[in-house]
Amino acid sequence: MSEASDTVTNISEEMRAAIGTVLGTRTSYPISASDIRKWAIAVYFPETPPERFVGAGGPDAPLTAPEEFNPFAWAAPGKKPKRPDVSAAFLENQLGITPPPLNTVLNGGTVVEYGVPMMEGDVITATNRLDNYTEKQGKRGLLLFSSMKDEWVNQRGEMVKRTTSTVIRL
Amino acid sequence: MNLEIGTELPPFVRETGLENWNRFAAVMDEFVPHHMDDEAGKKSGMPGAFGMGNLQSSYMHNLIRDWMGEKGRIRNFTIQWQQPNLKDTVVTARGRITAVEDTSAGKEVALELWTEDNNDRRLANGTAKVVFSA
Repeated sequence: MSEASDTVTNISEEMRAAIGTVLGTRTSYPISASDIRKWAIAVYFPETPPERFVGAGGPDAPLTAPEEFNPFAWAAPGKKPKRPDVSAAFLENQLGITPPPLNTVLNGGTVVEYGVPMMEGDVITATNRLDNYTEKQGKRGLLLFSSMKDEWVNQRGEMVKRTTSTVIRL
Repeated sequence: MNLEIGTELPPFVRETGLENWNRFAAVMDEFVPHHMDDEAGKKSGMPGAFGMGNLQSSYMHNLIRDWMGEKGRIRNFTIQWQQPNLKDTVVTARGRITAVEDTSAGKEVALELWTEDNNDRRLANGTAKVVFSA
């Protein structure tokens, strides 16, 4: 039996009890036509984006945002500039609980479910939760998978997207 | 539009480097030194500055949008990053139809997606489902 498999679990009772906890909520400013155009120009650079992302916009023909557009990137009500926590304990630091004794963080990927599109003028509210902790034995030892689910709705309460992001720690 | 299983999407190709990454940093507020500075990239174990993982996600979305046009709608999308996008490489986003199903919402097409560079390095793998309204 390897040394790694002797570790029964890195998921403490405190961590298990935190599953489902809301990590944060945020609401965007209304999405502007300029926000959409700039995003599209950046991701299609150096070619011209499709007209629906860069047209005149306005109330009669509001622009549609690209699916992966982020309305929270810069300013949002109540958002204060801060350095991101890039430590292996970032999640438990946010929860205010004791982190697992692991030092390496890998990106485990992202799963997105899309609902209605984001349009010029929309106000998006996001709720981010700790979705789950799971473990799996890997070649480098016991791997801790931590998933967070971020759900976005628009000002009418319609689901815009649900994103599940997973980080792997070892 | 040919929706047969195995059909490849027209590739989305971009030369990548600071011109792309600085623009993406500007819209994402992602001014991280290793995406902007070769020395910072080297400190992260790379040959120099490297691109954002989320820009690979956008390139896959561009690939899908350019192919499906305005009749299609992306229902879901997954991505797993494999290797960083190194400076001054050509990145190609590719996709292939893996399944087609008639649903109440329309024809649902499953896609396998990936990005690769001109040195045969796989940068990201993904999947998506697109619905074409009846």
